[in-house]
Amino acid sequence: MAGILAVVIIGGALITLLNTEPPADNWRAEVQQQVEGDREALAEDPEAVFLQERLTLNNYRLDNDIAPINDATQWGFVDFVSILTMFVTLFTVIAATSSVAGEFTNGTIKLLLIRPVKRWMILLSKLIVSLFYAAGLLLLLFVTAYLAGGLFFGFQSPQLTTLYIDNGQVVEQSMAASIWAGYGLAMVNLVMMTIFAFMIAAIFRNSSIAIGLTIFLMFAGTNVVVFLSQYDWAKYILFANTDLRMYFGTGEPLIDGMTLGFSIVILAIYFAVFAFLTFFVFSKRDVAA
Amino acid sequence: MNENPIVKIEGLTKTLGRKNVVDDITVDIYGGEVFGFLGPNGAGKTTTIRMMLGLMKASKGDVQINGFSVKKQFVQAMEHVGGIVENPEMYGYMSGYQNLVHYARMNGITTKGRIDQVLDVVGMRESSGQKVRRYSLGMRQRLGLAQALLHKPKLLILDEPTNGLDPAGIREMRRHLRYLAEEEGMAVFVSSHLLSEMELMCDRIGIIQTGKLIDVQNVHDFVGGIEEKTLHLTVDPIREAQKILKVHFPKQTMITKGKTIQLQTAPDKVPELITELAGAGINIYEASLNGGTLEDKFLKVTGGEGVV
Repeated sequence: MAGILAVVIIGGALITLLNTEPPADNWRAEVQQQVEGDREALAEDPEAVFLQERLTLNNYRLDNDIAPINDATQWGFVDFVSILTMFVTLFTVIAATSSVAGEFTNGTIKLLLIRPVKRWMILLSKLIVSLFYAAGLLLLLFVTAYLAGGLFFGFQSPQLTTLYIDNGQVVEQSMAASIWAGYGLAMVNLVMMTIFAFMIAAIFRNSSIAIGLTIFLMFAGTNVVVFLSQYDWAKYILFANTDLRMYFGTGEPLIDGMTLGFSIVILAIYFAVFAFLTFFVFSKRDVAA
Repeated sequence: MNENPIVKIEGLTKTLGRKNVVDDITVDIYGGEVFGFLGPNGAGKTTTIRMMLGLMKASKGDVQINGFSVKKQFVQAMEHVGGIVENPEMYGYMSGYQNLVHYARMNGITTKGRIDQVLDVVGMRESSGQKVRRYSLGMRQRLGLAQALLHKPKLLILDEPTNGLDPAGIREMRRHLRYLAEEEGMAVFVSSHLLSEMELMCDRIGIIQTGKLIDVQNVHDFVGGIEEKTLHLTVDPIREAQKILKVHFPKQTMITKGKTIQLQTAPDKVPELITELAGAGINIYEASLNGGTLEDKFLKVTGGEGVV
């Protein structure tokens, strides 16, 4: 799994290298050119929000001497690769599920549960290992992206600034904060998906069903939430809260009125319920496998 | 045999739906004995074993292992028991040795060399480096036994331990179990649906049918006793033998098949008969005593199936 992840990242770096124009030596000229193009386009269509925002950002760049961050640079690539955290989630769900349901499917659960150890401790150790595995993969993703980015595009200092627009105002954000949002907050999603996978695995005790169901709910859930976002109650759905990036940087809350605190409370409640169900079912149910 | 039972099963019951799959089983098992748990398939043997090992919860009753209740003192009870339930499934992607390391850790074994010791006991030292995936069924059974012995338990529970073994493997398993009971003083609890196998391995046999423990018998009662059993004698010349036997059993019609005579007698009388036949110059090729209460009962409950 770690190998697959590394191959995907290096492949991504290669594709970026071939398809993205490298940052120009004179970025000012390029940005200036874009500004002029956007001005002309805006004269024809004054309502184009995207063009307006880009214009505002570019002007800010020129005024404050902040170069744009290209995907084909080391930190640009690292930031871009954070989208691959979904692979980390996928692999973690597979590992977490098979560590519980796989024992039932293979029959190894019997020799495991007749040891002088309480069942909840066995499950807890599996949960902890799964979370370490998730964190390890995330770290691997970051390190590989950092190395691949450095090797393909040249190493650079992380003292960079990204810009985004919030309520019409240009806001500066350090690269470190952006990276943190991309990778660190992914861990929140990973923790939730891991306990979710554990619950499904403990209930169904079948690897294939548990992996299939978790992955399906994970992708379907995210889409269904977008679809349901017109209703206010949708904010109580797990998948409306798992992506905390919506509260940072360019993100926007899925439903108006949702706050970081609200999402953290909702996630904590879901976690507690999932954990309780998982531990209850795993400890109490007869093993007939 | 020790005085105090290592296992006390008291009113053990498992209700699934409305049916009592295991119905009010009560029996004590002592150190130093091999106890056979005999019954046809589906009689409730495995369910009983699962309850003894805490894999299933008893609906009623309890099992005490070395004085600890499996229900209430699970951890302490499990410290004194090793076992295999059905097939000994272990992690195929690890070697036999690695599997044992894993189980040793879970049992809190820190003694170095204990793993090598049990590997020696089951004769798996050489192949312990191979991945379990590549093991034959016989090797898996042996590794299963090694795993169950790691923590020197007072009770060993084996579910159909000879399943899938060849005759040599069965004999070896039998020798192991006898050794563990006689030399190590362990209580060995073995389930099977084969009476012939149980007779060779066990000191006592309990018969279970539709969840109920019908009878518990000492295997050695088989040998002596005054209850009539069927004696088969293969002799030559057969006519002379018949004449002598006729004197002892004037009322019985003896069944003769080829050179074999079949008659009913108390086991006590067998040595005497053989001495007399031999004294009359008759060649005895084979003498065997079959039947008796246990087999009759077993045949009755199983309807003759499952006996080999």
